[in-house]
Amino acid sequence: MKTYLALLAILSLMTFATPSFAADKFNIDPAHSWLNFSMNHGGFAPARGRFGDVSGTIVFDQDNVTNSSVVVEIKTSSIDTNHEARNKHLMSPDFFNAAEFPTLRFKSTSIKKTGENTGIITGDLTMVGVKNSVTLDAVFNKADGDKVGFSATAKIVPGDFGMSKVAGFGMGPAVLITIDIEAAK
Amino acid sequence: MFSEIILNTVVIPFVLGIVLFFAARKFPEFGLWGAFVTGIAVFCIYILLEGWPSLPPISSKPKVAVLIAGFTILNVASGFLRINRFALILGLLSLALLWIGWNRIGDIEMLPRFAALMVPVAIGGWAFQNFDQQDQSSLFWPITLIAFAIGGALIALLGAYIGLAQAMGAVGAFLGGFALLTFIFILFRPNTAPTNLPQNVHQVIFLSLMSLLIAIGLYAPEVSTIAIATMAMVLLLPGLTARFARFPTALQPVIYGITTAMPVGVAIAIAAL
Repeated sequence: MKTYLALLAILSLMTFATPSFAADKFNIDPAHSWLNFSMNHGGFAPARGRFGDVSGTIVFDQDNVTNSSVVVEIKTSSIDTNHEARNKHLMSPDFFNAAEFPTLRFKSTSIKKTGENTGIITGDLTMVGVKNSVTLDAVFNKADGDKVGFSATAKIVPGDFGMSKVAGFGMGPAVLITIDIEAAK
Repeated sequence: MFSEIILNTVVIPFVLGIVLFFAARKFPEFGLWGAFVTGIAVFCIYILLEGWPSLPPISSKPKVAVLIAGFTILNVASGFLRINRFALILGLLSLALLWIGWNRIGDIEMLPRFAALMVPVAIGGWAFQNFDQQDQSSLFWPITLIAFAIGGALIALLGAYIGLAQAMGAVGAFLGGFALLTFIFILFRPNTAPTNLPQNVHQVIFLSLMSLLIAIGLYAPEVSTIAIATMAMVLLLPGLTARFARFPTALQPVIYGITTAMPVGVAIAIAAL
């Protein structure tokens, strides 16, 4: 009986000594994630497109979002602008250079809470070999069991990443990115 | 936007070609320094279209800029050292192919592209070694290179690589400015001495065009390897120029131009299929 009580005491101590991990890790669900973009096309109308292959992880601490982080990888060749010839041109070294830079990568560096379910995610976006800081306005949509959902928007200038042809072809100069992501444990 | 593209791709290179013509006329000893100035002109045309390269270069486009600048210097040095042209072209362009294509060497699917690009490298080196400018019309080599540039530009365009298509076309326009003035002088001042560019000038332009073609051949989303190999046949035509001697002097560049259009036309048709 004494041995049993001692064991119970040790187990209890171990349980209390273990730090609580409030932040949970989620994997981005490619089937329920969208990364769309739009930009001005010579003043006529916005040109729109999307990347179909989005993956990554989200570490989310609902109680203290500053402890959260996000890493997103996008396959460059998954670009789709509803026009096959344009898709190919966008994959050329004039734009995304898919052969030399097959992935775009975003890694958060800080997350701030700005409202009940809103925040600002700052991070490094690496595109065509150039890394620049990018800020996303994020909205936490829902958490339900093993699943979370977020939306975010950001504005980037491709010229800042060395993609001078975007402006050269009368596009942009800024690109509006909208991200809708579901992630599961 | 469109006017800026025309200005940078056609007008400015064309005007630079006219300047090249007058420089070559003004200075009869337009030798290695002329080749150096020509290389710098091609480099400026490229920078005008693609912007200043990021250094150290992290992708194929800035590598092309470095290669054009490097070839300009090495071309002059090789002239002083009298290095065999075939060995020089084969050596420099093989290294360029390895450097630009370094991250694609392991990809077995890229083998046809590497092989196709070696065809103009080998033929070009052999042609420059064997077909010298001195015993030919002053326009045969420029016309050959214009055809090569236009062919490369259209192959790039059909391969969804518009940026370097522009660059190839711009080098063609540069030579076009020179060729047009030379032709006008042949027509209207037939008794004056022809304006010959030394072979080192043609060589630095060929090395620059090949740097562009290597980047196109390896990184265009779609490229016809057969078209690249076919287009290289135009580089053999300077070896047939003796056959054009029976035509009147003013007609020779026209007939030769039509002849160069044949292999290039076939190459473009193959690329378009």
